[in-house]
Amino acid sequence: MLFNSVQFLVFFPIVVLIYALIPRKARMPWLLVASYFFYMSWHAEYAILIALSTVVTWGGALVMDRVNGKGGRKSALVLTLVVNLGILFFFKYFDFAAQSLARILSVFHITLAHKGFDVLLPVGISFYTFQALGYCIDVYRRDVAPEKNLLKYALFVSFFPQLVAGPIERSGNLLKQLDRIEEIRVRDTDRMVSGLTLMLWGLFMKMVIADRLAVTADTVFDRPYLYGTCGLLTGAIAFSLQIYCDFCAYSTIARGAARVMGFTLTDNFDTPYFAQDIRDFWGRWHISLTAWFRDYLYIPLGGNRCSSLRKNLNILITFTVSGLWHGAAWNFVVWGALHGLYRILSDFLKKPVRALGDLLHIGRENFSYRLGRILITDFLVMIAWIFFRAESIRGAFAYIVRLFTHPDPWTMFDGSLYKLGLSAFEAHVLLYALLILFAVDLMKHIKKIELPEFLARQNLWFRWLVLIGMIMGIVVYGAYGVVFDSTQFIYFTF
Amino acid sequence: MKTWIKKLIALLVFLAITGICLNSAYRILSWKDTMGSYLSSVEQLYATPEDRIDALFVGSSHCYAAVNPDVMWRDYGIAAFDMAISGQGKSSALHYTIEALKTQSPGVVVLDLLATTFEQGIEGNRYRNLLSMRTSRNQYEMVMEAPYENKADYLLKWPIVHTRYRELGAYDFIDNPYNSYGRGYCYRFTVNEVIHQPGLEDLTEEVPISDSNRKWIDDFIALSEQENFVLLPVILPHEMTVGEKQIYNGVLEYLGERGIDYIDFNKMIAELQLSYLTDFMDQGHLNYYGAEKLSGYLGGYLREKWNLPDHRGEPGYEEWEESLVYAEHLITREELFQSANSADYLAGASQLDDLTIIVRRSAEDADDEIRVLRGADVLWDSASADPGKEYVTDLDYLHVLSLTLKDERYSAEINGEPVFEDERGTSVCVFDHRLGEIWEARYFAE
Repeated sequence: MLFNSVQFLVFFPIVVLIYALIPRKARMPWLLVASYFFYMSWHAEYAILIALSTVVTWGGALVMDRVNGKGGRKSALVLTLVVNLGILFFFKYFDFAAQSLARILSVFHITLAHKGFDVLLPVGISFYTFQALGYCIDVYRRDVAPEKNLLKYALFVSFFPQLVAGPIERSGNLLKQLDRIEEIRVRDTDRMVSGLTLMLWGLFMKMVIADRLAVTADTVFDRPYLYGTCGLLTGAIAFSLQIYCDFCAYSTIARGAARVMGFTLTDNFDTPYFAQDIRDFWGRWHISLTAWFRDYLYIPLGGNRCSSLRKNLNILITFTVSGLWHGAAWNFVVWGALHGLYRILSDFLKKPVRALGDLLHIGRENFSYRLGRILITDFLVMIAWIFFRAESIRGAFAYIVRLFTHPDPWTMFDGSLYKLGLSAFEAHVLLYALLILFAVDLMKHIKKIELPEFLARQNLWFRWLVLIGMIMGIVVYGAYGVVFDSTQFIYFTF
Repeated sequence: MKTWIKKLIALLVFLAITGICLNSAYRILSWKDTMGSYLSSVEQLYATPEDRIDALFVGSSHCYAAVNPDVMWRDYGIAAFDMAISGQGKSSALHYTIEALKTQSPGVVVLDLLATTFEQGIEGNRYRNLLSMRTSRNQYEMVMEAPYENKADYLLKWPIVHTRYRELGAYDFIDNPYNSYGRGYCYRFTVNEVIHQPGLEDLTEEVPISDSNRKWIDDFIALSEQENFVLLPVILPHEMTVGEKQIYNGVLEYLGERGIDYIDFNKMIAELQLSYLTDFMDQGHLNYYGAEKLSGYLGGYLREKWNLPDHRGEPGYEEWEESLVYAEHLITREELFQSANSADYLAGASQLDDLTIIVRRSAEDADDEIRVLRGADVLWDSASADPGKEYVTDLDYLHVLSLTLKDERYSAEINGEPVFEDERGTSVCVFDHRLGEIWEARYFAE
């Protein structure tokens, strides 16, 4: 059940209506039932996995709390990690590992027969597994007390707005809110309007912008050898924006849906393409995952309180694992490692670049300096996205080499750029939609307010104009129905 | 006033405005068979006052090409209507009949049997069959019975029609004149010779009637008994394949078993004096001239057999009267197209008062003369106008005529597009206000 599906359009109001009408004590069971129904709408049998993960982590946390010795607690944690990561490994990484091993062994003329498992990756498995493991590690560290109520904990793991694509919530946030679920003023209309506005904006980003950008990105990435620098650059920019709009849209709808019901989820994206360096970018992109890796991998590895060499190694390991989290393929690993290298190099070059800037009298307190940094960061991120989107590492390298070696400036003038999958009319619709996105993101970046808060401060006519405009924009220009292939949210497969 | 009441009112107003906006957008985006090839019979049906239709013709393009209600009105005063849609499938035919019966009580329903020869239609025809009907239980049942996937898309309509934003034209925003006339008939004057396979109409081999065809016939018979109309199944003239003929034979045999009279017009080509040279538009469809013959026969048959009433001169049948005037207008146009010289052409055209005629006479050794006529009235004449004076007028809401003088030659443009070639002699361009279109730009060498 996608957020941009008719099923969700029916499901969500029913869930909220019943949630608002039932006795307070029934709210939690109701949301749990709704969440499992939501998840089972993909593949009912995979509900067993999420239930298993829930029970194991819940039980593991209780054991950790009751066992006194550190060894016992550690054993319970390890067992919990092994079971959960084992499930994740089996469904997501087993084929990849087997194929990689077979390839390595083939160098030594050893043949490993592996036909691959015909299993479908359970939707959102990486998200709920990491959320559950984060909770276990928090309990192990005694940062939070273990949750004794299985029902509440099960809802924490499976809360439907953020179940299949995040944000990866921390127990300190969502679980605490679930503690107070009976106190929530469900019929707070201002909050509901704010949540619905967020959902609308998310749908606009997904259906009007991301799915249009997907057409151009797919056209170029499917046959990159047909294009020169301009076409390839357009394709890479299109994918960079597509993945942002796609993923941010999901998180925004998730936050909106949760807000309608009185919950506050983590803001997963904070205008990442306005980041001034790679560190800044990762502080704005998929914030909940970045925080997860920071707290549960990077710091345990030693973080930055160690030698420079070790710190850089920790960065590289963290980003590489992050890449692997995104997908079971080497190009994701390279994508993650590349971001790690970016981080290391930016630290390494920081002083020399500053010195060079001083030598050339380049001012640092002005717009052009900040803009330059933003453009360089976005360019580096875009190059990395090519590895993310390409079918293989070889394909990504071929794309990048061609991008830099086939200049074709005339294609900017002869209409070639209108032949990248979108008609001129569609391209203009996309352009206008991107301008709206830019305005909303700029407002968030500079004024630190989001669309619902901005609208709440405006007069009625303007609020309604924007809301009705968004509804009409989605209904008319949204990618759904028979013509567009409604692309799924990219992050579902992670 | 209490806060919650204010909020409730605000919510209702917001929903109402949003609903109005969505409804307006839907009206613009909705599927309209108004591009000239297909008439929007459904829209005409909805616009027809209650209890007017005497004979309802249900079927495919064969039906709206072969059955001309204008002829039946002209000759017999029978209020006939073609409830026909391109590639109309079985379920569609049944449910559109039910839809018509909501407001009409025809004495006879003539059912085109082409739908028995196919199960799945092409995508465009699915749209025509499933998207035009108003939302109702009947429409829901039609969509649910259709043998297609994505039923929810057809029920909601938006998932299909919203992408029409790419092809919107003027007639998505304003009424298309073609929608008002024909009573479901599609006027086609094109003449093409049809290669006829002799003897096929007498083939007796048959394919036993399929379950879906049997059910369809049974459903129609049940409906006729329930709604008290005479069911008359027909095979309309078209070039069949052997397979189609075998299916027809099985269906006709079943109709015989059920005691239902039918007409196979493929066996009546000679009796109706239909010509494969002049009366067909293509292999599957009669043209206007063929339809006139068939409709004349059918009108007489309906009158004789069931004594359908003559409504000519009665109030409440304006749609049929206006459609007939429109048809005569078209016929005059077709006759004028045959004119060999400008004098005959102009004489004929000036008889009609809903035309604007632009005439340019151009000679080597003289200035151009250009005149704009409306019927017999001269709206503008270059000979009497100030030298060099240009002329601009709105022909209708969508068309602007401008006459400009360049290098001592007049150029006539409609919406900025030249209407005449740079020829010496007499050039004539006719704009039809009734149809809102340019007939043609003719050149006469005289």
